[in-house]
Amino acid sequence: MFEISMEKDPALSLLYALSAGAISLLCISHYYFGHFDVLLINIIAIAIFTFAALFLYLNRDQEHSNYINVFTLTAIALLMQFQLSLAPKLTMYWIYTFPVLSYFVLPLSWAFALNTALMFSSFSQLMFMFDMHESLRMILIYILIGMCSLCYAYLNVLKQKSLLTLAVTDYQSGAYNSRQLIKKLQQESARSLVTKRTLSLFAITIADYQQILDIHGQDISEKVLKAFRLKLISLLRAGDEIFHSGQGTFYILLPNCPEEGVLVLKERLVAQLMDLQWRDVGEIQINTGLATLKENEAPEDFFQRVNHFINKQQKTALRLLSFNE
Amino acid sequence: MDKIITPKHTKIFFCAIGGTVLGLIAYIDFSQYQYVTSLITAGMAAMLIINGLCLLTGQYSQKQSYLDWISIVLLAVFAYIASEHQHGQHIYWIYFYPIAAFFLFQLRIALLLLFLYIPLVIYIIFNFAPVLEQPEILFSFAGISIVVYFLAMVKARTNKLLEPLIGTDLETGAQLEKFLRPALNTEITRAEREGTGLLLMYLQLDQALKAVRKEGREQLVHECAQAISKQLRIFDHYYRLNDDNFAVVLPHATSEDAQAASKKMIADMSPTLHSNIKVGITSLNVGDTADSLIELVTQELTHV
Repeated sequence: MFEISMEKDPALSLLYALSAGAISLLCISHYYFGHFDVLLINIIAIAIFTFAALFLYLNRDQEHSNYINVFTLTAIALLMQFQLSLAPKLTMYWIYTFPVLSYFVLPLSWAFALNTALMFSSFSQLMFMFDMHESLRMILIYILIGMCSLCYAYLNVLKQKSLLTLAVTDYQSGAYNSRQLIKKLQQESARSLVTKRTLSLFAITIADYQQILDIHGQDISEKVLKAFRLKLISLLRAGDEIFHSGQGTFYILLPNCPEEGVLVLKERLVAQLMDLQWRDVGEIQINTGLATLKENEAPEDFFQRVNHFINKQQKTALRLLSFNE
Repeated sequence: MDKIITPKHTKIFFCAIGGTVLGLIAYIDFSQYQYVTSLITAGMAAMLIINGLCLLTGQYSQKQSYLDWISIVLLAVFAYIASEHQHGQHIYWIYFYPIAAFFLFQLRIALLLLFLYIPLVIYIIFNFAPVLEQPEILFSFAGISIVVYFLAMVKARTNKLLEPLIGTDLETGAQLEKFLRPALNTEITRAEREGTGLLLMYLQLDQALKAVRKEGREQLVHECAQAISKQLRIFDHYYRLNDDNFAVVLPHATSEDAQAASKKMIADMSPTLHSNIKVGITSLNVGDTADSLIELVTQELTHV
């Protein structure tokens, strides 16, 4: 529900491109020193990194990025294993870079699994190439680099998670986020119980938000959300709080407002918002849902009731549209 | 899982495992009669273990900055000495430097440290490593440095993006001061519209906490915040203000309720603080704004 784009893909694309460039330079030295077998493997690695860099540069689907990252790193790990049998000492230096790269690129659990597999596979080969002490030392160094990378990446994840948990504002629209809405609903329903005053929740959704996002991109859709929120603020009572779900649905919490009052507000808001021309996207279709807190109703049920209304209206709007066509 | 494994636990875990692994490497070096490198590795292991123990006993915060600096300088020196022996067999130490720099320091300082280290790395590689391995070692060092830099950069960007969106103070769980005025304005509007009461309570703790040392002070502030939150209703809000004071917004409350709550709050706080804590309570009157309420409540401060 509350996802924030870390925009990691452009950084990864650049990183893969840099890796391909660095290995290309390395290829010159391999050619110069006559390591032709290693040179061939490095050329394959360049092809893999270049493909991954281009794919991530052009790709817009986060789901695909994860798979392409796993594919890239697995392919590189396999190449490392193959090269280890040809030039063990030289390859170990390359293998030392793998933990840092994998913990940056992949989710922690995937990276951990891949690193563990690489470690056992390398150790099983090294045992036959060096004496026990030497191969143990190499693997221990690998473990140490892996440990450093894992802890660093894990601390970053922890920090990011705690920041996301504590965030109250939706970065796209500037309104409070949905986590804050749930918290506020609990507070306000408790307050309503004490004061015996009504509490209403009004939801207003931009029906074609996903379409706007797909056609006009992130920047324009963020601008629309911000403008929409500002327009809502100008039409509401002072002190009414606005929340955004992150998916184009805004919730307005209306304390001490009976159902009739919300109905009037709904008519006013719909009339004002439907007539507006949004600079970059033209007209927008909106759906609404509203509910007033019932006696002894749980905040979660109250919230679900509003969402149910909004879904129902969305379905009706779609049916009407198909009927008109 | 996340609640159990905190950053502190992760660091202690790293120190324990890292210390053990380094100890094993030191033992291998020792068994191969490489006494200098064995000593260096054992020294690094001891440093990690000491670091872990400092973390475990809670003495880390006061020694943090100089321990970090000592670690990074020693790592650079150790890498040089270790590489000098056994024909660059132990040159792998140079890989740990960029990781440690970005792990221990902020992005800018880490980047500066890395740039300062690069000439030494080039000197180490081209003087101690076997000629055939030099390009590969240089490539690995550059690879590790760039990836760690990217990791630190993404982290810094993410934090920069998320930090302004946070509403709660990490140490105490209280809301941040910047949210006090907007929340107070909202409550004033609501109270005036509904014709209900609104109280603002101010707890001045900075005088009481003045004599306490920094580490103990953080713990005490945390306890005070818990004592305050324990007495609040679900719809009351409390804010941590500069200088470790707290403000509490109490809608639908009377002065008697607020006074009783403040007494209970203070009773739950550390007895050493009681005599120096001042509390102010003010209620909303016609024409009041958030600023005037805050100003009034600071004038009302008295010992409870």
